[in-house]
Amino acid sequence: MRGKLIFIVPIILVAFFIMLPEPNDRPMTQNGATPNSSSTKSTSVENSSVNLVNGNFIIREVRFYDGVNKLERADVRITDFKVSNVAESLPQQTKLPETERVPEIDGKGKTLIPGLIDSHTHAYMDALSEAINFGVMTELDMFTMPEFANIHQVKREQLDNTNSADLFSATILATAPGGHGTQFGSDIPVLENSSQVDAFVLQRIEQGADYIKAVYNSKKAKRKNFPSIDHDTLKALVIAAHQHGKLLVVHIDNLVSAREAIELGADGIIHSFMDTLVDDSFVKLMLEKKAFMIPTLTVQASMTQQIDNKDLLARDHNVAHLTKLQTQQLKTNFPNFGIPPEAFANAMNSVKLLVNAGVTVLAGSDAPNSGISHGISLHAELELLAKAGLSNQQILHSATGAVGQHFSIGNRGRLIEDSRATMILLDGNPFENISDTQKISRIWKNGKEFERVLKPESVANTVFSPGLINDFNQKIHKTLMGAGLGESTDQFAGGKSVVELALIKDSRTPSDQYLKVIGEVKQGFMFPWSGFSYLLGKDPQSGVDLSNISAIRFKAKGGSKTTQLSVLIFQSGSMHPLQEDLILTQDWQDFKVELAQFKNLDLTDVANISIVRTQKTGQFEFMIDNLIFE
Amino acid sequence: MNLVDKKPNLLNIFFLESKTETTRLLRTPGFSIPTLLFPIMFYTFFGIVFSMNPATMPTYLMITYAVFGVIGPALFSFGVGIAIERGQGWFDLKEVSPMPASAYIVSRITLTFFFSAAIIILLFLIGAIFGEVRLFRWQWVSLAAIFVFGSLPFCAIGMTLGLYLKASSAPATVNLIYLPMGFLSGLWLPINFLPEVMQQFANLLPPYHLAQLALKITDMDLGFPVFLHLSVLAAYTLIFVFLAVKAYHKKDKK
Repeated sequence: MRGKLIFIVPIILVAFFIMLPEPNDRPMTQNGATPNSSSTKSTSVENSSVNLVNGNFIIREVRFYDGVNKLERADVRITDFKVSNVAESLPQQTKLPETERVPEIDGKGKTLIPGLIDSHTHAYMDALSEAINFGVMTELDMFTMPEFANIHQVKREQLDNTNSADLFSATILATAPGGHGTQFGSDIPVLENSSQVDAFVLQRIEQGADYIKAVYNSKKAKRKNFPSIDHDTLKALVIAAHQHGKLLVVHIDNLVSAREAIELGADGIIHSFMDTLVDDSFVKLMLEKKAFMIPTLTVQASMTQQIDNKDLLARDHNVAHLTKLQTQQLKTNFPNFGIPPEAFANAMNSVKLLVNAGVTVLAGSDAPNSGISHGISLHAELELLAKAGLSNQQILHSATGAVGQHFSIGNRGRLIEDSRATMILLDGNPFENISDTQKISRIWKNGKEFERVLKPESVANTVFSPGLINDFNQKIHKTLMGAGLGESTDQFAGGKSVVELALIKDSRTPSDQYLKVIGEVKQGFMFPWSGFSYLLGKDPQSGVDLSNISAIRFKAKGGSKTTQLSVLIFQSGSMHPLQEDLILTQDWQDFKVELAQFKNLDLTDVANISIVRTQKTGQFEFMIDNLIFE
Repeated sequence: MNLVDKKPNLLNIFFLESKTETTRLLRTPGFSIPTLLFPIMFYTFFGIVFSMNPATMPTYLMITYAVFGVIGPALFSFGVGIAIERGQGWFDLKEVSPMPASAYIVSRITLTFFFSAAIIILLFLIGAIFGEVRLFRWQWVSLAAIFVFGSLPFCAIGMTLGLYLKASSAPATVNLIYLPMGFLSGLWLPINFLPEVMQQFANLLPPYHLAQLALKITDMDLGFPVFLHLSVLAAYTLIFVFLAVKAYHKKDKK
């Protein structure tokens, strides 16, 4: 009896205590709440992945920036998802009834800043979730389709929209027929003359534009790459926009055009100019008119082949959160436009001169252009602004508090009483080192903590060996390796292009057949295409390892009018292919596309190789045979 | 026969005495049912059914009712128990038996621990299942340890009461101490629900200090230092052990 009891009782007790539930049913971990870590008075919340703090909490002893002013040490109280109190020191909670106490976060050595605002992006697809993952909580879009914008304009008013950035949008930009903005293939309304302006602006506002964006290039400008709306049309746009209480922002790329736009009453200009340095009279004009500039140095660095994302991509705290697509975007380049390197120096120096004179500059990245990705690239823009010579506080202001002084975005970019607690806690001090904005410790959107998304873990893909893919003698769709081959057009992305595939007998050798591709590229999507895709992985999302393949070889010839063909290589999960253009003739020709030439191609993860007609609209016809991996 | 040479096994005596005492009390539903039922019933009422704040109240009150629960058996098994046995003459009989006096005390402490453990287990179960109380394992274990050993000062208090009180008045007197002391120490409702004056007064009461000690584990205490609570509890223990010893000797002289 006694001997048994000595064993049974302790076993039952141990079992009982093991069964008692723990928070989140998660076993206690070495980095979670240990007896030692709770020796401090506050509810300690070191491990954010276990313990997200929402709604009501206090951040203690943190370096604080409210979007305009800085406090070296502050306690910040969040009540019901909003900032309720900021003071050098808030009373301790020990005397409060236990039921009224809220969690506390130790902010020592950290900096709390408002959620960042990117004042120039083009938002579609995953833009807004990529943005929030890097602390960019608001995007001012400067041209996207109203269908996308409208969804997010509704969402931005909802307090529970805590997993994506808030969007403000110009929707469709105002440009001339064939002007900048029309090259993306979308069939957008354009302005031929000033008489169309009123109807155009009214239509934009009906479709939800938060402000109007125009593209303008003066007749006096030296560089004329695109047709532009004329001076009168721009003037009418300024008047019409202001009549409806909207801002008019103008895309320019030279000083002459900028001066004319501001003289006409435009509220701000987009892009710094690379043709020349700003002069005193322009600085004065900007001050007089209280106009602002969104310099977008990042896109200008990219256009002049001077973008350098190496540092950004070398930092573990960035890499851990970049999607594959974002990494690829950061590695891509614009084609070389032949702009002289001094041009970029002009852009940088002009920004410095304007800021020194007191002109407002707003940080904008122009994501997702080549080399630029949503969220992460705003931090690149901040670094470039530092390089241009702005003080770190001026830079932080340009991405937070300054935006709301011009755009009607509510309290976004500010952390003052009653503003939504949309903010980031940084490890480090961005006032000393601007790249500390990338050291994101925690993010809150509308008072709810956002758990940063980690990049998906990569898995080893099937390794492909050289060999025949399809000789098109039996079947179109079945390939000797990979998932198969099929029709591919931009209808997949909402476009209107069409295509048809057929096997044709070779007249000389009847047993040999080839693939004939007939179709039409039509406007409807920003990047129209039509042709066929060779899918490599099990499903469209997964890739294969092509490390053992040096080139893709095939025979091809063009139809009567078709002279150009593009080979697109997609990494898995990416919508941005690497492209090689080929010139076709009316006769069969051997083509060999070397994979080594794509210097940013990750051969271990290729999902799709497409042979298509792209960009140029119209009917086409081309023939393909003997598709081989070499 | 070898009665003289064989040394008595002290542990065995402790065990047997504890076992018989426990069995006796279990067979006295007048004691076991109220001591087990009261804290559980109150906790279910105030902590779960009429909980004002489902996020923290079940945890807070589970702790305070556990304190309430464990001081009950300590006061009753010692206070009422000794007083009644003294009245029946059973206490004197035991004194003259060869059983060491320590066995008497140890058995009652064991008894208290046994009932404390039962109350703690029941409260933890109700809290975890119906109150959705979620604590880390170290918190569950530390709380249980604090409750069990926290009953010791109340054993001392009970012993003194048992030695001073008459058998007939003991149950009523102990109840008159137990229930108001529990309430005034903030065991029934969170201490900050009480008026300021009563909160000040609670500082004098040992259950308040035991509760604060336990609430520290879940960071729900009022934030006074641990050593304050420990020294108050230690002081109470020493004073009442001293009083008990005095009472015991006084009784002998009679």
